[in-house]
Parts: sequence; C-alpha cells; structure tokens
Amino acid sequence: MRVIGLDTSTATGGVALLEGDRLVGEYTLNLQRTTHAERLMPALERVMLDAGWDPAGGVDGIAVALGPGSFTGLRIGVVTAKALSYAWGVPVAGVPTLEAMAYQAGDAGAVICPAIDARHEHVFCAAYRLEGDNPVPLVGAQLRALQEWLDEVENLATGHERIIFIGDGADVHWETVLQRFGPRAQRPPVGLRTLRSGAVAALGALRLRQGRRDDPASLVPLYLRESEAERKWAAKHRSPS
Amino acid sequence: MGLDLILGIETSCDETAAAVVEGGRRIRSNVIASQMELHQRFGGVVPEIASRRHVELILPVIDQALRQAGVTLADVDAVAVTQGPGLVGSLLVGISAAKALAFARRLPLIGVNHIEGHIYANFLAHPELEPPLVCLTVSGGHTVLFYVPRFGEYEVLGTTRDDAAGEALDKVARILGLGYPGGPAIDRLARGRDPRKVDFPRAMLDEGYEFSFSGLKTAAVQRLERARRQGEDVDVADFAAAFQEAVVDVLVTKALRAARDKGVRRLIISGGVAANSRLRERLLVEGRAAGLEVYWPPLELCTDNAAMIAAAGYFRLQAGERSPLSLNAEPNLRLR
Ligand SMILES: [Zn+2]
Repeated sequence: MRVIGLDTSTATGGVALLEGDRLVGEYTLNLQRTTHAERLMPALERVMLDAGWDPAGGVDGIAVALGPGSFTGLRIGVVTAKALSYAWGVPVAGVPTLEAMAYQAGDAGAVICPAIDARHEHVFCAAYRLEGDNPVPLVGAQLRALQEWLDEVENLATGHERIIFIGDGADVHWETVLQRFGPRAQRPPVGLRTLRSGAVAALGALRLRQGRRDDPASLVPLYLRESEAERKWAAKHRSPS
Repeated sequence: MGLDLILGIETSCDETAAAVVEGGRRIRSNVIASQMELHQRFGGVVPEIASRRHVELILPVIDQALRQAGVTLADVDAVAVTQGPGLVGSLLVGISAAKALAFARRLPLIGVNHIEGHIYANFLAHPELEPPLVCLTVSGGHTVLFYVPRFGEYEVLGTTRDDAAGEALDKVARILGLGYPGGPAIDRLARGRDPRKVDFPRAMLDEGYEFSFSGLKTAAVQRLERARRQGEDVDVADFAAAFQEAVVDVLVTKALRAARDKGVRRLIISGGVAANSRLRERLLVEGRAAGLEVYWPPLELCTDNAAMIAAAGYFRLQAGERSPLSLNAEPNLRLR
C-alpha cells in the first residue's frame, strides 16, 4: 500500500511517501521564509519524481496532519489532501498532529507530552502513553496556558515516571519545563523534536488499514480555537447565568 | 490537445464557487455556495470564518459543478483559479484545491486575477460581445474603470482611492439599520423615491477617472448622527435614494467619460453593484443618448462566480500562459 503523508501544521512541514512499512521518501523544511502554499505541492512533485512514483498512477491513500497548529497552514494541508483524494479516487485519513508527534517520540515507558507553541504563554498540548507503537490519549488535544498545562502533567506522571516532551511548544519553554520537572523531563535529540511527515504517513496508513477513513468532503482541521470574531461575539452575547 | 473545457474555482471572499466553461464562452455549469448568512450576525465578512467554511464547501461545490456539466475530471482540459485580489485565507483554499487537482490529473494550471474575471462575466452572458470596450467593475471590494482594446489586454483607467462603491453602500445601509449586505436593500428602498430630498457631495466629479467614496460615506454618517441627536425624523427611503444617487452619479459620469475619451461604442458593467437597478437604468438611458451599447451580466454572473474565472483563464491558457505548482495567493494582486 502506497500512502502519502502531508504535514503543514507549523513552520515545519513536508511530505512523505510510505510503501507498506518502508519510508520511501521524505521532504521536510523548517522555515519561516516561505509559506506552505508555495512549497507543499512542489515538494510533493519533487519527492514523487525522485522516488519514481508516477503522479498519473496515483497512490492508495492520503494521510494528513489535522492540527492543531497554524490555521492557514492546516487548511492548505487538509484541502490539498481532499483534492488529491478526490482526483485519484483514494481514501484519506486525518491524523491529529499531536498524536503523530507522540508516535514519533516512540518511548513506551513514559508519559509523552507533545506541545505546539500557541504564543502568549499558551500551548496546544495533549498527553499519551504508547501501547505497542500506538499512542493512546491520556489527555486529548487542547489549548492551555503553559503553567496550567504543566500542573496537569505533574498530576499525570505519577512517581518517578519519565516525561517525554516533544514539539516547539516544549522547546520554546524548555527552561521552565526543566525547572519544574528536573531530569524526569526529557526530549528527543535534535532533528527529531519537530514533526516528520513520515510519522503522519505511518499513522495514516495504520488508520486506513483499520478501515478508519475520513470523508474527504467534510474533513476539517482540528483548530481547537474559535475565530476571534466568534469569541468576541460570544463574550458580548453571553446569557447571564 | 485542446484546452477547451476549463474547470474554474473561485474563493476570494465569501462565496465558494466552481464552474465548467467550454471554449471560454459557454457555461456548462456554474455553482455558487454563498456564506452570507454565516456572516450576517457580524455585519460583514469575517475572514477566518470564511476560510473555515470554504474548507467544508470546496469539494462538494467542485463535485457539483462537474456533475452538472455532465463531465468528470478526466474530461477537463485545465484548471483556472482566482489568485487574488481577495482575502488571503479564503484564496488559499481554492488555490490549494486547484493545484492538487491539476497535479493529480496532470492538467495545466492558471492563476487568474479576480477583477479580470469580472470583465469576462459579460463575454459569457453576451456571445456576440467583442472588444474594444470600456468596463466599469463595481462591487463591495472594487471600483475600477478599464479600457479593453482586445481580449486579454487591459488598461486600468482609474480605481478608487479609498472605499469601493459597494463598501460605501453597505456601510450606509448598516447605519440605516438595513442589515447586511446593504446594497440590494438600498436599491429596493430607493425605488420610486425622489433622490433630491437630501443633498450629498459628489467627490472628484470633474477629475479624470479616479474615484473616492469615503468622504461621501462620512457625510452620510454625520448627517444621520446629527439628525438623530436633534430628534429629527429621517425618512430612511429618501435618505437611501439620495445616497445611492450620489454614488451612481459619479460612476455614470466617469464611465461615460471613459467611453467617450477612448472612442469605443460598447460599455460593460460588472461586479455585484452592476445589479443595482438605478445604475443600470441611468447607464442605459444616458449611454444610449451618447450612442453607446451598454451591457451587463445576469445576476448570477454579477456576483462572484467561477465561470468568469474559467473564461478569463481560458484566454490566458490559449495565449500559452501557465502557473507553477508554487502558485501563491496574492491578496493585493494588480492587473497586468
Ligand atoms: Zn468580485
């Protein structure tokens, strides 16, 4: 089974080609200089060409990181996945970004805490334990103030259990995390701290094998946050209770 | 080898649209999903909400356009998509879909200027229409006067220095309590009223082809506030009629001047405000008196749609133009 993995959740993003259990190709850029709109499709074309995958031949499935992350970035990835799925007539699987990060962290004996920087001392975060390779959520994806989140992690990780942090949300606040947890807090080595699209492809392929395909028409990003206009409107029209 | 059947995609503002056009002139399908109701409670288009809705609508709308045309992607020869101007988040939804479809089906891709698309709405509606002509494009987002010497060539004669004409109409409708979008409401209310009951300024009426509507808008807001402060009764219909007349006066004067200066015999109007009945009426009467044929598109081609994008794309593709897979949204794209 040939599966394409797409990730445009954060400044890091790219595409991966997975054939069965073999990662055939991956193209990742971590840049602020260009946008996903400019680089996603050229990257897909490049990596397919290099791998000898003929675009006219299609693939067997599409996996896409659903978020959370940058709203605009997520839309580019999700819409691209929808349209590829439609044009090739193949299934699509949306993969929660934080779950893919936990999968990539790959540490079975720890609590895994992926986090994406949401600015203003907030993070998009979740917590998982692995069963086999599979991330099982302890806390689902949410948007939290950093300190609240660290409190929650402290409650989750009982005793002397190690806590694996992954993602730019942990990197940005690493000093704070270390102060709180000391040597129990660990993170993957440089080069594995931000999401690789290979992990998205692998989790997506797993979902597709389990028959957990998404409807490409109704698939939407995992925003985890209303638009500012909706927040303001809700605040103004809140019923007194 | 032909580039006959074009799939057009348009998501520059708050309509998700897809269409199939044959030979640049014949509409095979034209699907428009409006988000108007979604934005009504905010009194205007909210970019983030519009972008989110586009994501939900884009595939069903494209699918419906192909079905209504009785074709599949396998029959399509190329994909045309609005590149700008517009809301960047909205534009990116259409562009991402168009690029993925073009890549997966190995089809030529062309990014189209939205305002150029509006010109083509008239070529779709009137098969006999040919350049040279002058085009007045007026909507909530743009006010532009073009000279079109031949297909695919444009000269921008003038644009607005501040607000678009439709934007001014919407704003005044809002302060009059007429809801959103307000242009059509003003048009309805003003019918049969005497527009001379309230006096409004006409900005830069004597100068060239440039427009300015913010001064007029401010005058309307101040006048209404003063009347309310002093407890005067404001006849909303008379007020609307007078304001609309001030906008239409400027548009008509400059459009006719452009047609005369360029020596063309055809004048076309396009964009959402081209649906305004007072603008049509005056252009028709005064245009005829000046020896001009005046054209406008039917309502479904006045508002933002993808058929006009497919048509404009067709002529660019015929000229050998192609867009790369790195095509990006250009929120302030200018005509070239
Ligand atoms: Zn428009």
